[in-house]
Amino acid sequence: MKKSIEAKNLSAQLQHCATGNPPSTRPDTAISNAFPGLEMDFRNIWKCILVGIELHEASNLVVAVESDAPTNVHELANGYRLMQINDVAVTVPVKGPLYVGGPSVSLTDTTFGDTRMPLEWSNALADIVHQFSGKTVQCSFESLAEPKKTIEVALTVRQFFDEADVEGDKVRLAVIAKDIARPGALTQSLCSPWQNDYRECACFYWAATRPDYVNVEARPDGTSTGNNWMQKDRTPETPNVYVVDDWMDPSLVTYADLFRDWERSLRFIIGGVDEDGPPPKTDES
Amino acid sequence: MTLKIVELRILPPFAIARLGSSPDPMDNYRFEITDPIGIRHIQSDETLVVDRETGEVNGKQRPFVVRFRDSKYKIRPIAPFLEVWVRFAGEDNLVPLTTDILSSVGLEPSAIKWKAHVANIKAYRRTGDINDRIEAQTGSFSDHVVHALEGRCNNFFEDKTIPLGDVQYIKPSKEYPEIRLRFTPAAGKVYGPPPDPGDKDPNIADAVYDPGKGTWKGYFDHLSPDDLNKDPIKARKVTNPANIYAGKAEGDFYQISYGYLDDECDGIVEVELEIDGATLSAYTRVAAGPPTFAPDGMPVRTVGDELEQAMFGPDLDDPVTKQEIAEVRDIVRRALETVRLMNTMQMNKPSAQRGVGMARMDFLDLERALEPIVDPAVADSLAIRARHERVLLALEGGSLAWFARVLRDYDEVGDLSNEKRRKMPALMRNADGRHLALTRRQVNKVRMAAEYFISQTQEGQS
Amino acid sequence: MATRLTRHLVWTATDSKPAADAADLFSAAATPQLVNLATVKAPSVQEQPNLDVFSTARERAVYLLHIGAEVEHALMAQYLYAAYSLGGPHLTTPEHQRRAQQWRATVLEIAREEMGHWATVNNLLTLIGGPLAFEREDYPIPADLYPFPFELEPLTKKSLGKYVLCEMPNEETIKDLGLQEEMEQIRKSVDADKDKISVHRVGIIYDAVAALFTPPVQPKDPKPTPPSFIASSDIQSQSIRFQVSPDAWGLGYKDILIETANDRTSALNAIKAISIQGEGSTIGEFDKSHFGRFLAIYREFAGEGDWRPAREVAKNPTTDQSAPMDRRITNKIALLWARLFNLRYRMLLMYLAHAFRIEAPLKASGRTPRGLLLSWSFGEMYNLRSITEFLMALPLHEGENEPLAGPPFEMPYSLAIGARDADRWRLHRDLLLSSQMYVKALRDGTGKQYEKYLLGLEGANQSAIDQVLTLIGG
Repeated sequence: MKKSIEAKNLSAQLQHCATGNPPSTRPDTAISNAFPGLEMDFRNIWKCILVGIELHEASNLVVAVESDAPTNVHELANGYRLMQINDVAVTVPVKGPLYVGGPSVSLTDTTFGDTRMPLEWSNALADIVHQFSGKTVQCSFESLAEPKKTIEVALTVRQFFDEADVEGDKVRLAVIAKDIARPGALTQSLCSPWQNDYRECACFYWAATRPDYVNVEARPDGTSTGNNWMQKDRTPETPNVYVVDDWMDPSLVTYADLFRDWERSLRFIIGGVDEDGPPPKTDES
Repeated sequence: MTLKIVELRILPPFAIARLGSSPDPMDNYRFEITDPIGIRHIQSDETLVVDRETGEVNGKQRPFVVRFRDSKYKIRPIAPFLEVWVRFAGEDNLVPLTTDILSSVGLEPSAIKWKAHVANIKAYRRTGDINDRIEAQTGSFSDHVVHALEGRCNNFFEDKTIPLGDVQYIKPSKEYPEIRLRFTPAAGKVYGPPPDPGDKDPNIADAVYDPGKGTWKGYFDHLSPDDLNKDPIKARKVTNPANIYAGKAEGDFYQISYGYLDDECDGIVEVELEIDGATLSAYTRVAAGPPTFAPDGMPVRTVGDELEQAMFGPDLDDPVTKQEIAEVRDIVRRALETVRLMNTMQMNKPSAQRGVGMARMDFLDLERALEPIVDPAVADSLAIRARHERVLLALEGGSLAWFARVLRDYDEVGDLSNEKRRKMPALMRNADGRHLALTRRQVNKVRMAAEYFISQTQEGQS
Repeated sequence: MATRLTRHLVWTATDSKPAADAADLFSAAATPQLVNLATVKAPSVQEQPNLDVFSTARERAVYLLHIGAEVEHALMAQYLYAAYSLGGPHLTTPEHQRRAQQWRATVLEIAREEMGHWATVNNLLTLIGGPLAFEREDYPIPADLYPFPFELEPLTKKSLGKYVLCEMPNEETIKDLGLQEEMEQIRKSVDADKDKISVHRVGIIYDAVAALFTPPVQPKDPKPTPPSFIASSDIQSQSIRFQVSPDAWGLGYKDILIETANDRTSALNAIKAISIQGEGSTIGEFDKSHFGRFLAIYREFAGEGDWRPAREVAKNPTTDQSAPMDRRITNKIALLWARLFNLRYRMLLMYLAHAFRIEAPLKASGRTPRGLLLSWSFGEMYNLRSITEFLMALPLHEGENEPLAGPPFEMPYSLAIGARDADRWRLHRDLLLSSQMYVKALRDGTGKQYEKYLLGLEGANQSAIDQVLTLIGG
């Protein structure tokens, strides 16, 4: 066990591994390209970053305004989107080809009809959070109903990491401040139950945590073969063929399998290969 | 001379617990990297064995074999320890709080007061009904018994709760005098409302939710074009992705919730100590999620990266340090570990059917032309893996070129041209729903390391 | 002095009017006006390449492209060596380190672009059904098309001056850019013969190739047989699946310029693109051209007696133990690394040669080892870079500190590749196994010094061997 840590060394504190804690207790094993996420939906950490309002974790919509916010801020609850903070735009245009080989043109979101997409808060606000913690910033909001209607208001950036008052000095801590996220906030937008997410072929996000391709081998034609992690009941005799995800395919783990017995249905993958399979089921579970 | 304790902290400031139904928590392990491009080897490490009855640490052991399951094939939960650290007046360093330090200020371990508050508000997030919040609070305690985190919810039946895990103040002893608490997560069960009369619901471990009180059962995200017309603000408040709760699909747009709940949670653990009339306190955060099923690999973008960026900003000081170069090596390794478990050929395919990757999402979300992301001829996993391995190996030889040039910038996520979609990391989803970008700090770190002037001696490489 | 490469090449003078069409240039009946170019003064004389043997237009194009490929190949390795020589522990001030780093990045970029040109030329050869051109002489390569031999040497003001002159556009463009005086000064400083006409540039060769692709505006009647330009039937659009695309090489970023071609227009565009970027006869964008970039570095570079931006690496190092001492690598460890370098270089060329011969699959779902081979080629570039770093930190000779060793870029005894696929995999297997022998010898000889890298390389070799065994097995 470490004998001492410099109080100012917040890096060391963030990475501290307590005695007996394996690596998967550390935040660096929790994914953060959350959509919605595994261990938590870290996007929720930004919802209350501006004092007085609550932002959507996954868009730039103002979803709520605090009751004690000033009057001019209250209007924001009526369908406003945050567009800019201090000259930092929080949306970007979306463009790409509409047909193969075609020119890159503006693309429109098929659900909401937006031509600009909100950036994820983490990167969009990185400078703001770092430089304006506790200070005010100029925020520009646009009405959903009438895009030409904008509201400019100065809001305070909430302190992200907490500070303690120690013998008259302000001391910076490595823990995320309480009023940034209350209990339950970080996991609220995850799947319910979480097992649902595993069945949704989230395989293109977090393969190092929720594997996709396992038991991979080389084929005679120089390409690879392996199993889909969601293939049921794999044994050493299971053919090494990747079954493409399809929620109707009976050879793949189902929602019911996961709800009832995810521990048996999902395998640990060590060194890219399956751990031993479960023993035959007995009546006692 | 007694030193004065001026502050308390709980370390780590953020701990992840991982669900599992075994009564026997996971042993400690660590990674050993022997081959710079090979897998991380999982080695057993010093494990504190706790007697749940007494709360004492029985002993430290180093298990012979690292087992993620018990003899009944149940998954062993990851139950992190939270340590209390203190700082003395005039000192720069934090040290672990021990019984010796406590007695030096005339206090017993019972002077420590713990409090835990976790919650699961997944249903509330959808319904907006405060009574759908599931909360568990222990209240203040100083004893060493196991304190269950009983998840209570106003919309549950009278006598029902969801166990969200427990906390235990570990009883310090002569061999283990440190002040610590252990958070054990729940078993990973599914809960819900009672089935219809005469029916059974084998999916749930217990029928806790009263559909007479709350609307979680039968709830659905309002996202049809009609809903968007009628109440666009309400439609936009829905989560993204939407419809991710267990339920039955109805029509093209609706998913009708079964009312299922789980025993994940996140929250805050606090500690308090009264010394000489003054109260010192500290807190830490915890979250409980599923196990890491490929425990010998690490994801390429993590909460750790986010915290580092939030703490230190997106930019780095010149010149890059040895530590930062080692961190860049770790980023490339994590990319390799991700790619090793990904069917990149499949994820590269353009298809409107499920089972493929981002090409389909770009098509469905934005009507972008449906085509593969990288040249299919080179998209096979082994070929992609070989590239990453060579790049990682080259880092050992002191150079990092290609990777730095091809990283996606956070503000080019909207550019879905062929060239930009191929930027790294490729084939993966970002938090904003489009293609993955690393944190700005990660990207800057990689770029700076690539520019770093590598001195020619081996000593220049850590 | 004619070498194997240029033995059929004859430079003819034309008057200052450019040829109307390829027919005039290459008409079999025309008598080449052979001129003693040493006595002719610039700039009114234009030179054109011609062949001293009868040949068809396509065969001429194949020959000229072959020359282009060898030149690009030679330039690439030369520039890589120069780039890697920059920097080193002898640079102690951050300012010097920074500048050396910047120049290194620029020269590396130019080297990468040469590689792209080389790939493009091979794509063009594939387009017209010519064989691949992977050969090159070992360094030093005699001065033939250029006024200076190609050499592997550390970057100095003098060697930079040579590169500037080699990449120079024609005299007219120099005049337009107002650079005559500066070029004159550079010529003096590198001891270039000031009476000698402006260099024979690969740009002229590319111009000639372009001309061969261009049919005459007015069809001639009667049609000359054989035609004086490449026939459409010899331009095979389906060859594109054998060509290497930037998508396949670097996963598709606009990283280096590699053009593919499937018809006359795209072939001409490809040639034009190479010309403009580097050695071309017209300077499209001065700042982005190789000439422009080398000149910019030349102007800022440390002169004689000033600080030394590059390491004191040897000139044209070689593993040949009978070579003159100033080139011979005798330091035991450096010799092992140098031999491994040559081996990995050979592997790179063989992976590419093999990949070029495998057709890219028609459907996206098609499975061939092409992707794997291209990834391995790509990966070899990294091994070469790493080994270069090791070599340039070791002395050339046992018992001396300087000069330092360097990658010899020596060509294998043969570039021939087996006719059957399984035999090609056998070659890769054997080269990988030979690599393992070097890994072992290096580990035995160096203890902990290169431990991590060698361990990683051993692992990578082994997993490649495992895959290859599956591929041989069939």
